[in-house]
Amino acid sequence: MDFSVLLSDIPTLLLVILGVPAVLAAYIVGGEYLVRRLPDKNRPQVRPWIWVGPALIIVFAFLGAPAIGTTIQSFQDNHGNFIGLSNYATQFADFPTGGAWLAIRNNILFWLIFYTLFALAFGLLLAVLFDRVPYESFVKSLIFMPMAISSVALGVIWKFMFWYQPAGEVQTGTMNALVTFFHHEPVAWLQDLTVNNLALILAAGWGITGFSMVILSAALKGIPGDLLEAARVDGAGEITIFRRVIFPLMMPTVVVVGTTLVIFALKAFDVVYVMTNGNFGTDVLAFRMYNLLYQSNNYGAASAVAIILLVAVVPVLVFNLRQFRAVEARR
Amino acid sequence: MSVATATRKESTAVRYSPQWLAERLSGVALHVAIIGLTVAWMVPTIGLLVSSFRPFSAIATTGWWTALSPPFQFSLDNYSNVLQQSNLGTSFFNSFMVSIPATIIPITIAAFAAYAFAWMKFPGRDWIFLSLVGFLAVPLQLTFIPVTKVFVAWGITLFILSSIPANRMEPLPFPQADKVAHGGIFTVGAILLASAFFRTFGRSPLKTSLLVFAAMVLIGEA
Repeated sequence: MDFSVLLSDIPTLLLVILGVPAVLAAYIVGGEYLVRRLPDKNRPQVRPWIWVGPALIIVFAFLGAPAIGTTIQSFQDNHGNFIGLSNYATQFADFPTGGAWLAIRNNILFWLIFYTLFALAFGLLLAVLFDRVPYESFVKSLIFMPMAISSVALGVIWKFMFWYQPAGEVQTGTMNALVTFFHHEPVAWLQDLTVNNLALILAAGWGITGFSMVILSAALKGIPGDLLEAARVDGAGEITIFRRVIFPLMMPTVVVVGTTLVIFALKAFDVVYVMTNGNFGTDVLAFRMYNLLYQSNNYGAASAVAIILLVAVVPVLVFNLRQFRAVEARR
Repeated sequence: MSVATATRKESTAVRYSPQWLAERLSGVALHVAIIGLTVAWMVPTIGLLVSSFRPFSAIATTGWWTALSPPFQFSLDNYSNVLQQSNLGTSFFNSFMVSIPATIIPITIAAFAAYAFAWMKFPGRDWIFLSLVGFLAVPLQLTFIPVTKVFVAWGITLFILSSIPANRMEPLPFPQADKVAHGGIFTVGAILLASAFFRTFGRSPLKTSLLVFAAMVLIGEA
């Protein structure tokens, strides 16, 4: 190991560790100092902008402005000439196999439906089961563990799981060892066109279920116990109680987790990138955009794919906003 | 009051009666289901852990589960190889250089904004807040192209690229743009969380920013 780099750069490191908070603190203290010097009448008009300003600038500079830039770019070619809708025309050409159709199919038919359902169903099941045992926090942290693994490492782990050797040879992948143990032919999980999308979703879902489980479990804990007691006194069975009392009360949380998962599903990228590199019919929109941008250097086409992704998210966005306003109104 | 305490009702059945037996059995089934699911969930991680202690020749020829029965063939070779080959000093340094400012700046700035959203009145407050909520759903991919272009144009690449060795960059998608775009979305998420916390916990910025910090670290890359 070579720590000399570390030693020689300690001043820079200290500058970053101490300097960044110092600048931030100086900004807000200095801002407040200047506001106090204003006449009483003007203070309430100026103060909020001092506090909100930096965040608005960051969000506009890193999210707002680039989003506008991408939109404009999607109507241009690589030299900045306006070419109308032809970037979109290329992406939507040759239904159902050409252009971006394969990626759209995988995103909508596979990822959106199966990834969301997998993470929601398992998250709910685990949250409800774990709620009934004393060692809850221990098993919960074990299920949550994959969340701490980076998505690249997750892809590597599942590549091991899905490893394929031709029939007759020793299977070193866990899944194929299981399959051959039950006397089936080994499956090429990542190459076989019928299963590979679901295999990728299984890997990604394994990683994200901990997230939905933790949030759903928190919602479950928020249900008052005397409500369940009352249902039991009225003679309701455990399954009826779950269907008629627990689930309806958890519905707002299920909706929030569900919409978050839908957004994750549409943005799916890392697992595809690491495990199949978009081959064998597993391309997704985010990966297609990455390829167009960094492999083909086709800025216009990449922007068009990004906009298609945005359009797919808009219904979720509108839904989220309405939910949010409804919750705010109930305050 | 948690559901768990309410769920574990007192059994009224007489010992060794059929009803008592049925209750005991469903209790056992619950534990078996929970432990089974958890173990199944951990199989991929355990497989990787076991493989990391096996020599390469063994990994290529037999499954990791064969290592769990004698003769044992564990070795630390993989670890010592990694420690010798890669430049861990530089990697640690880079992690600090990138992650410390990338965490501190958005969280602090978001806490400032959240404080204002929660406790100050100003024109357009609700609309600004709502449009921030909307930004949470915008795919980050939408912002990569202009950010990359600006980086290339302004030469900011020099700073970020020079601090990350080339061989470390390869497995990281969107090497430069995603750091920046994450900063933006991170800020939005932190603002929302913090303003919710400010309203619930009152005016204690320190407590609130600590909570927000914990929450954002947990949600992490998501």
